[in-house]
Amino acid sequence: MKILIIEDEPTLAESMRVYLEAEGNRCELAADFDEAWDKTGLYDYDCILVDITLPGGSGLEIIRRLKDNNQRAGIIIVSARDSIDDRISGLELGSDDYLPKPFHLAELNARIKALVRRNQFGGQQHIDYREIHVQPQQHAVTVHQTTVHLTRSEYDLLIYFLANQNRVLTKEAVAEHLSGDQADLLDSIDFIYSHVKNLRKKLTGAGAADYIQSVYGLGYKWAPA
Amino acid sequence: MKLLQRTSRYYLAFGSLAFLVTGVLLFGVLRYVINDEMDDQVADASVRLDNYLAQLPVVPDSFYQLDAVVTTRPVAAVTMPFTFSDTLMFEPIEREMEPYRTVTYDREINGQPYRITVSRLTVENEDLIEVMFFVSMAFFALFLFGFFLLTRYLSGWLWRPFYAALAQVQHFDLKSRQALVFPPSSIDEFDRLSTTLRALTAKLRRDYLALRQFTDNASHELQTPLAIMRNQVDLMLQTTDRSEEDFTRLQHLSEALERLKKLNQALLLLTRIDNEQYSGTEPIELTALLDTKLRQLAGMLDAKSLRLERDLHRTCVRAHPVLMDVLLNNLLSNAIKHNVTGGNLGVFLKHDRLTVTNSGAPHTGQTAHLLERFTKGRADNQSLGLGLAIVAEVCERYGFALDYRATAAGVHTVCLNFRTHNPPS
Repeated sequence: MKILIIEDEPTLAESMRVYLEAEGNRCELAADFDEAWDKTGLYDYDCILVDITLPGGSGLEIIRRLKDNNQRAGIIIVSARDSIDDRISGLELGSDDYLPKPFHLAELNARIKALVRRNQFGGQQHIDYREIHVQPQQHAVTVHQTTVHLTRSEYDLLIYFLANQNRVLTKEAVAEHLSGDQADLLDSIDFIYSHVKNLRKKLTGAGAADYIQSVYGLGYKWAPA
Repeated sequence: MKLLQRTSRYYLAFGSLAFLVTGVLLFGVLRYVINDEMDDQVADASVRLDNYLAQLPVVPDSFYQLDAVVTTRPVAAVTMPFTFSDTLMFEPIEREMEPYRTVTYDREINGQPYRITVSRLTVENEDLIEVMFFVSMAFFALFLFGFFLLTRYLSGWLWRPFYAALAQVQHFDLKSRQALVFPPSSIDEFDRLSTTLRALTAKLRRDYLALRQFTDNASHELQTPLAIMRNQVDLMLQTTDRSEEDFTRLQHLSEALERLKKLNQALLLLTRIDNEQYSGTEPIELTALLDTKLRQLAGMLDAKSLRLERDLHRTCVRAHPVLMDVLLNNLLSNAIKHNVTGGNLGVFLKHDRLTVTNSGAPHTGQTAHLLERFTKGRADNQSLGLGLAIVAEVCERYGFALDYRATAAGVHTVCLNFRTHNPPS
């Protein structure tokens, strides 16, 4: 996938690039409004990450133009200005998602994958991982053709793991993914244990290998055993 | 007590005292003056009386001379000088005892010493004193009353700018953008008061806005460094050939970052509520929203093996959806977070009242303080102490009555009453 990262903070742009390229994507960076304007005019991208506050202009202006030009790219607003107005006007202009800073790179990655799946394959693309088969539109999971019944949280957790294979995911990142940004879970973050435990039990019960590894109490990693 | 009332009271007390003292003094003085005058008259008359007696062939024992009763009695020698006294004597016309002023003195008449007493009826004097006294007192009372009314009216009128300023300050709202208007006054002190109050409130508002602006800016500016740190930690975690010690350090770092992020998020939210960024309202079906929230939190409920008791009746509230979401989220998360493993959680929505009860540790401090920012039930827990502060802020904004109670047995109850709902103007 080709991704354009419009972000004026070089360290942040770089970390996004490193994480996303490790997933096999090709990333380009744009550090200000003009550069972003030029690049979006010249090339096609599968996904564009836009910071709203940019030197030289507003990211919202770029989104407006992309939509006017019928750009196919999925657009995710990545902004420190987590104000409800920006969120709403961004989504009204046609951005597909809104991710307030600070975010986990794993979350960004999962959002990009979900967006591209929705955008380019009408959600019909299957996710396959060895013996595990997921049909995102039906929320259906099968292992060796055996249907596995997952709760909503367990399903979300599985998709999140599959989007970030071979990555260490901290408990905080998983908790935030499952219960949203606003939940104040600091001292009850352990609730994700039970979700992970149940997901693992259901998958191995249906005959899958155990791919969820614990990483020193720090978090989890989805990787072949 | 009102100032006017208090001054009136003192004034009245002083007036009564003055009235009483003046009355007594006036009465005494009048009486003294008139009696003295009368005594003088009698003394003056005694010379003429002596001459008159000397011309008589026989000195009579007793006779009436004009309005005076004169008695004479021979004595051995002239010993008594003029001696005045008050006596009661029988008055034959009125046929009763009447007060007399009597002067007694010895005088030699035609070589024979006599003790002469001249008694004059003082009823007339008493009448005179009484009339004079009452007329004076009536005028004095009228004066006092008039003065009292005048001060009352004047005070009310003169203090009007003061009360106007007081009312302004009383309704002063730091968050409102409306400037205070103090009516002009011709009285220097009140003018100074108005000027001072105007300057003071303007400064208060400026400081408040600056502080709010600062919090807002600081929170915003913190987002980017936080994002950088978080992403760097995320990237470091991906290098797996690290020692367990490194991972432990990264974990601590990650947890601290999470706390910082939550703190910042909560402060941002509070600033935004203060900044009226969530100003619109729309009808919100609370039952549905509570349902969603409870479903989202089901994982946490399970993890703590909490028993959920719920009784939700259809209730609709006008508010901003984001704020209502935050309100319920914090209320429920709080009830779960501070719960004990295997405890209870009760959510009841009925008659415009939302009641959330949860079992937990007995609370020792003041429950009212828990609604303030950065106040925690226990010092050792991980919570930021902002959850309920945000709930309180939202409630204040919409005029919901918020009540928090904790019993020694460890039952915590938060009760929200939507009926007191006044939509913000």
